[in-house]
Amino acid sequence: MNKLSSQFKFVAILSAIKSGSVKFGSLIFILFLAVAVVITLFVERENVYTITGQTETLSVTLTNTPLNQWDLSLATLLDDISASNEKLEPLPGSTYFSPSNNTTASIQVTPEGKYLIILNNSGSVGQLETSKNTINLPDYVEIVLPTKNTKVIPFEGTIRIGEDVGNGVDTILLGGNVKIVEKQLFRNNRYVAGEYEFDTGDRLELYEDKAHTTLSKVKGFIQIGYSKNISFTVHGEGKSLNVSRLGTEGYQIKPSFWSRITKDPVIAALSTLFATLFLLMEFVDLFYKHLTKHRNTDEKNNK
Amino acid sequence: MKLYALILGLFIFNQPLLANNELKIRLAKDTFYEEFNADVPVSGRVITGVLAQSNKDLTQLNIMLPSVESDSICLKAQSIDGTYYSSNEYKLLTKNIEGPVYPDYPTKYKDQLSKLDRNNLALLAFPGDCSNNKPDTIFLSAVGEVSKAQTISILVNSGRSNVFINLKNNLAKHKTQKCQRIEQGKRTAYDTICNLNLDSLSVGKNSIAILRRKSGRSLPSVKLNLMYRDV
Repeated sequence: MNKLSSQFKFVAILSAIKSGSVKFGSLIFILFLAVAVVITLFVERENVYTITGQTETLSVTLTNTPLNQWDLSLATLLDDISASNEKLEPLPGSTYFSPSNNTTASIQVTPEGKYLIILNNSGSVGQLETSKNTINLPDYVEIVLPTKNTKVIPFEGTIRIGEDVGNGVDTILLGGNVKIVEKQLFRNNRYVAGEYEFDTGDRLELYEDKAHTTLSKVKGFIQIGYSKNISFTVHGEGKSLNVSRLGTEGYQIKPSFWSRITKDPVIAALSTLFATLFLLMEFVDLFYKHLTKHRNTDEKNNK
Repeated sequence: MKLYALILGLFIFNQPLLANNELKIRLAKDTFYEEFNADVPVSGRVITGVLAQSNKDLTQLNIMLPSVESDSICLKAQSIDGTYYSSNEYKLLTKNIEGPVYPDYPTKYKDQLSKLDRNNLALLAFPGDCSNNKPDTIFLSAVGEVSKAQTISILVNSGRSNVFINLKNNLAKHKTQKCQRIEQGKRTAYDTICNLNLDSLSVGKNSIAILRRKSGRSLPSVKLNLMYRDV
């Protein structure tokens, strides 16, 4: 239907120009319109990327915000790797973790089906607050979450989802998709500019710049305990989503020029309106020519 | 940064001129073995490179050779994305040579290598022939001249585990520190950098253990002896 509509608009514009109904003034108008349309199509707009899927691993670089204060009640904590063989006692109930800025939390499923959070920072990774005291954590900590409960963990920060497959890599992205939601022209509403699926083993990074130097700050959450993997939902503004894939150069996902023409309702409505105007102009012109032809014939007959 | 990398690369691979007192070592075979394509197999070796960080006015590859018994040296190079790989044996004409030696490196891929950023090319030099896949003695390689104030990088293919390095020598005993995961780009050949200050190395043998934590468990440590000669 959309294709037919586009063809209809194109034929209308072409026939209007061909038939000579478009005069010099109109051509200037069309030119102005074309420039305006091209400018509006190429102007940068806000793009929200919504990424969802299932993974065995993802890592978030956290900021010190209330959203990142996680409930780690009954989780086990390893804060000294040399003592890793000792049996670890679970943390007490009502234990909350507050990260330091730039703490990276790598969340993964272990082969035993446990949910492991590895916290890493150049300084302290943050603090644990229990009902009794506050514990300052070192620069590297491993936390195993209790598996019996389902849990939703929200987060805010920059994210990398999955791992690029290589020797020894055994936790990867299993699948998912991204929807790019773009702001409509002249309006605050948004439309879905594109939707893309990922392959198993892809690695995803959302960047806020075209040069791919700075990762976008995103908000999202993971769900654990609902299946044996980690479900994730991430929302963030960005310029492009980088997908690394084994055996390829990888690729970038971003809204295309054509998706704006075909999917932005405002642009679609405007182009339909102008195509209809051209048709009307042609119809009026034909009608006018027909009238003047008859009037001339009548005048000749009268003479 | 890219411009710097380009200039760096051009310096490395385009300037074979050496001062008269510098020792150049020749290839043991007539052919120089290297590959550059997407299908280069990446070995499962944990230690991919041990090299000194170079500064701007460097000239070319060198190996900081301590006094060794062996009459040959293997030099392997691999790019981080796994697309470039070279493995070549060099003959030492006389034994017990000490000091920086400059291996012949007649690569066909100067342009591609010159585009590689710092730490995106791993060098691994060890005594003996290149068929040894798990050398326990490593020599310090460098891209350019080395100064005392620099750091050395041990490039590790950790399989996305968390890596720690433990250095044991006359100056430091069981000093364990965290290594840094490389996050940018493709990390097919290696994914972690362990940095050590050059002045923390003692002349002679330095015992280094690479400790890895993966999925909440410790993997077997990988040990190597870095034979170091003072710069």
